Amino acid sequence: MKSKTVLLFLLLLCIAFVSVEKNTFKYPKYFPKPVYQFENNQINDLKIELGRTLFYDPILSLDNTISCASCHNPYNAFAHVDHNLSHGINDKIGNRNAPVLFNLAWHKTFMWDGAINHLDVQALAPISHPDEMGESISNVLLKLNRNQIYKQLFYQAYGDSLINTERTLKSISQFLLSLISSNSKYDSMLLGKIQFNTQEQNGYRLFKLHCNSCHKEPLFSTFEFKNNGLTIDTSLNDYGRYRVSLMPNDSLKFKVPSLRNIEFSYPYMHDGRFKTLAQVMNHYNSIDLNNKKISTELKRNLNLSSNEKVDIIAFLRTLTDKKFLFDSKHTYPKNK
Amino acid sequence: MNVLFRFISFISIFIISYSFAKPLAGVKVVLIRPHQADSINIDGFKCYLSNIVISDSNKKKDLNPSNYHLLDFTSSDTATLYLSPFANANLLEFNLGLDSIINTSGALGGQLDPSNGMYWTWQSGYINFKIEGKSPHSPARNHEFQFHAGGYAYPYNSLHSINLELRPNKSFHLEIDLALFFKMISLRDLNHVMSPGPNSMKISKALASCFKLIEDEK
Ligand code: HEC
Ligand code: HEC
Repeated sequence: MKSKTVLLFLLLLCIAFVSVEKNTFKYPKYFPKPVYQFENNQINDLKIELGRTLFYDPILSLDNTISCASCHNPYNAFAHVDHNLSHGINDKIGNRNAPVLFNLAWHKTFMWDGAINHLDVQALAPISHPDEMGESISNVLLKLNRNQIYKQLFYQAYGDSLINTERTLKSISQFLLSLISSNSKYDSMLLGKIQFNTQEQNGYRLFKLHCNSCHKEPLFSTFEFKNNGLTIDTSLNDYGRYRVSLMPNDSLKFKVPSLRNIEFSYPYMHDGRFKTLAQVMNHYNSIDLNNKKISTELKRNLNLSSNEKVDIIAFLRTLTDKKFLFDSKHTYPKNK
Repeated sequence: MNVLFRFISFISIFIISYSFAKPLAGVKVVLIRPHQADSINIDGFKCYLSNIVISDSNKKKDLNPSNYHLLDFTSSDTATLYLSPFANANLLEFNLGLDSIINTSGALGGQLDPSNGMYWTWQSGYINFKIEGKSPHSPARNHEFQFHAGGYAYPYNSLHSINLELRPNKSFHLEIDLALFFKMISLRDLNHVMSPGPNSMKISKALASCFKLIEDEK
């Protein structure tokens, strides 16, 4: 009995040691604590690399034509640039705009309506969606198991070549978690390395006044569901969060998106209805105050002058993280 | 360091599993199909049972080691549920479905592997049970019916706990009486449930009342 306790203690000690050695999830001190529970999926460079290979590989789709990157382009902060609605296999058009992918460890839910409750099961949605990758996870596993390169990559990452759902999904999560954007001009300003010019400074002031309640610093989102006053597109009839919660109160609420890299992730909103930030500013400046469903934070007239709108946009441009956008660590893997 | 770690973990896993290992007793679970005269054909039935607890009159409980069971009646009308035998047990409790912790834990393996086809990919969550088939009573296309029940979040939590009394030291088996289920659910009015919500709750409640404990004659 005693020896068992000692062994158990030693075991725990070893686990603690190993996790310290391997845990390389780094983020700025001024970011809040991540929501993602790393104890069940310890960050490890080999797993990140495996996830990256999977992310860029069309093997995840039915006809081997569409990869995650087909809709999530690294040079646009992983959004689907130029498409208001995403495109999948056989040129099928989805019903929503592909969002940016970074700082995902802080999201409480995923998708515009929060339909996905955990990052590890996120990939199942596009893989199985008939208009996206049109595949099934069991068939993906068959394909991966027949592939010598993956056998090798799983072996390197997990110590044996077993390829199963859990490992596949968790590896994709590892890659997604490694996408951290925290090197914008705004970040340098926070760290006291540079100063904003007057225009950016004024934009920042107005932003804190009108936008920060939902697009909360430093991640630029509370990741909650809000109605920002967009009228419904009757060709899509997308009621957002309501579809998931079935609560009438949630009708037309969408997850607040982060505004980091916003300059590069056009078109904007869940259906990509706006092409430019100027159009977004005009929307916020002309909100219909008779609309009862709109979230309280926006139930007032912003009365922004055209200079003020330009200033806010100048501030939004300080959220562009060039280092992130062109980081060779997460673009198309070299070994392929 | 690494070698040492592997060696120690091997030993301790061995010791832990040895001290917890108990021979399990298989309990037969039998699917009772609707009567022929009802013309309801079941093509598939699968369900999750979880958190199985057996207790005696002193409320002493025994939690089973592997507590998630996917029962699949696709190719046979009987399945086996493995329980740890417990002397003087007088109550068997379990859930029909999986709880919210499991539903929000991300990617899991084994019986909980999403590739078992019991997971909603477009809206995270397990399908607690599936009943599929055909009947002339169903006005849907090809007279099909398809019940996929689940949902773990308030107010549409469709998990049901089931308590069945046992007589100590009597052997028993379980029945899932689908004939009874189709007495409660009218296929004319309800033939497709594919997501969490009020209908999922309704059919879950109905199925939960179809579990019966039958003592084996001896
Ligand atoms: C056909 C285009 C398409 C493909 C392929 C695709 N996605 Fe997406 N992705 C989208 C769209 C559209 C959304 C938003 C969907 C919604 O809100 O309903 C999205 C949402 C996401 C989100 C949620 C982000 C957030 O802020 O909530 C993640 C994470 C994600 N995708 C990762 C992936 C991964 C990993 C893959 C590959 C396995 C992938 N996507 C493949 C179009 C695509
Ligand atoms: C009530 C909360 C709230 C406030 C306040 C708010 N927003 Fe938003 N914002 C949202 C939501 C929700 C969305 C997504 C809406 C959708 O797609 O349906 C959004 C979307 C956006 C987008 C598009 C992002 C993308 O990736 O498509 C931009 C840009 C934006 N907001 C800028 C601002 C600015 C600038 C302000 C201040 C003037 C502001 N928002 C104030 C909730 C808010």
